[in-house]
Amino acid sequence: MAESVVDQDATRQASGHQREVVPPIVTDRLTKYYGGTRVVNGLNLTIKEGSVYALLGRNGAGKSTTIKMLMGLVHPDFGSATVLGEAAHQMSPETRAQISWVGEGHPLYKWMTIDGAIRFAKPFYPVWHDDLVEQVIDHFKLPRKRRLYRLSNGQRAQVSLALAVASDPKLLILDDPTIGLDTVVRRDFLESMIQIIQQKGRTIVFSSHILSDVDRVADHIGIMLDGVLRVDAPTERFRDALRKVVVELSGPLPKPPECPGLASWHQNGNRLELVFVDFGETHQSYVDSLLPSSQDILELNLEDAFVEYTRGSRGVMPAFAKEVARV
Amino acid sequence: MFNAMLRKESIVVAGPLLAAVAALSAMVIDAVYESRRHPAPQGDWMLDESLVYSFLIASVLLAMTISVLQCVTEEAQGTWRYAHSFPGGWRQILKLKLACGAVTWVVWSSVAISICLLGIGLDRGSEGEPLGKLFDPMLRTLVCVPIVYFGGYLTALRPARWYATRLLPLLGVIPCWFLVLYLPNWWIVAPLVTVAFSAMLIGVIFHIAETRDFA
Repeated sequence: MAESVVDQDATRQASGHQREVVPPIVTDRLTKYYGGTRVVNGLNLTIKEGSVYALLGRNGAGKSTTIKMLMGLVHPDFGSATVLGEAAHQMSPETRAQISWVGEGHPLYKWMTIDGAIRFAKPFYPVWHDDLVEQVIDHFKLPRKRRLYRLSNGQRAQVSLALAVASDPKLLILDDPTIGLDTVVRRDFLESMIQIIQQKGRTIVFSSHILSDVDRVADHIGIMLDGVLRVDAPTERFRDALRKVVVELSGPLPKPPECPGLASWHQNGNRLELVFVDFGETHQSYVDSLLPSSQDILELNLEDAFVEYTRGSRGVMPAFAKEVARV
Repeated sequence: MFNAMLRKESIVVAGPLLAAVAALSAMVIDAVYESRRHPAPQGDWMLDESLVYSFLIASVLLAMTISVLQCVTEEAQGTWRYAHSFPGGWRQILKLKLACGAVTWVVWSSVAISICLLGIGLDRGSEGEPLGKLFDPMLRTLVCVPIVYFGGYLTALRPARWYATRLLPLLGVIPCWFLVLYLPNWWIVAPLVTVAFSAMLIGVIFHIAETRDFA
């Protein structure tokens, strides 16, 4: 089973001086039960400052619950979450003011107009940048006087983004922000988010189902399966680590394939597909031992890599080892 | 910040508040109209006990409705999480919402008593002390209403099944409220009991908000 990477030695050169940088998010064995079900299971996660971190997983994997625990909305049953150096459920108002959150489905007071929603939220924040709000509103050409329930899902998402960036947060946490949006709006939303927040070296954490979006914007990914963080690695590293080997055999395999690093396999007649993590000589030897009449080694995009990695048997899921994930 | 929350909450509670004011006004107008059609005999007073009980019931129902609405609308819209993501967190939001409830209570008390005073002014009865007769039960009610309000709030905030244990706080405060209402020397005892019960209920509300999940 893969373990998450907790980089205890995160340091950074700043202004010519060595200073210790506290990661914006650190969780330690974070666990949550709903009823008898363990929805988040011993999550150890460290997200570095300035990164765009995507939390991925299938429905019910524990992504939203993790994000809610980071925001202090849900209490962990075991373990801890530290956000900007403070315990997530006991953050001071000063710390909370440096965090913005965009929730799944964009929960806003829908009877308010856009202007009304801005007027409502503004007094709660010690720092509020009208110019940033204007930038988003103007960019998306949002109708200020219209009530939120009369806006499309995409426009509501844009209002959420405008409200979230207004405080110029150090940390932006988004829970599946693009769900229900069409491709164009989704792309525009994410690009705007990156432009406004990440250009300033801020940290963004978001959960998503839409892997093409993640591939475009996230520099790190975490993959959760049944509440367990199976992968915590740079996006590119994960994508490049998985290879699909397609072989033609003379007949069906007598027994299921077994090989270290085998993430998943699928047989259709004489055609066998094997997906390996960090395909190397050992794997090539194993493939050769099957005496294939032909073989192709295919690279995968992030979506395919995610699907292939997560559809394998959980019990034998190959580790995304620490040293690999650290790259 | 308080003004922003007050504006928002006033939209949530405006409906029940206006309905209660309209109902009370209708009852007073009806009583005055009846009084003019059938002048009361010497010594009688037209704004009788039925008006007082209507006021009492309207106040209690209003307190329950407002407290439950203040929580349930957030729950239904999924906006607890949004509101709690503000820098002040749940503590600030809860304090502001309870303060808005208090403002609503003051508004209701002022408007309701004004309506009743207007009714008394328009009455042709010859009761010697209508204000005394009217004000005693009304003030008792208004003093006791916070208990019902906080009980309703606790009921709506608690994560439990509506048809099971969730209604317990509300059911629990009603006997307290009746107890206070019919106490002898109520003007001494009722405020003390109300303050003590309200403080306890506020404590429990904050405890529940701190320990529950806003999933």
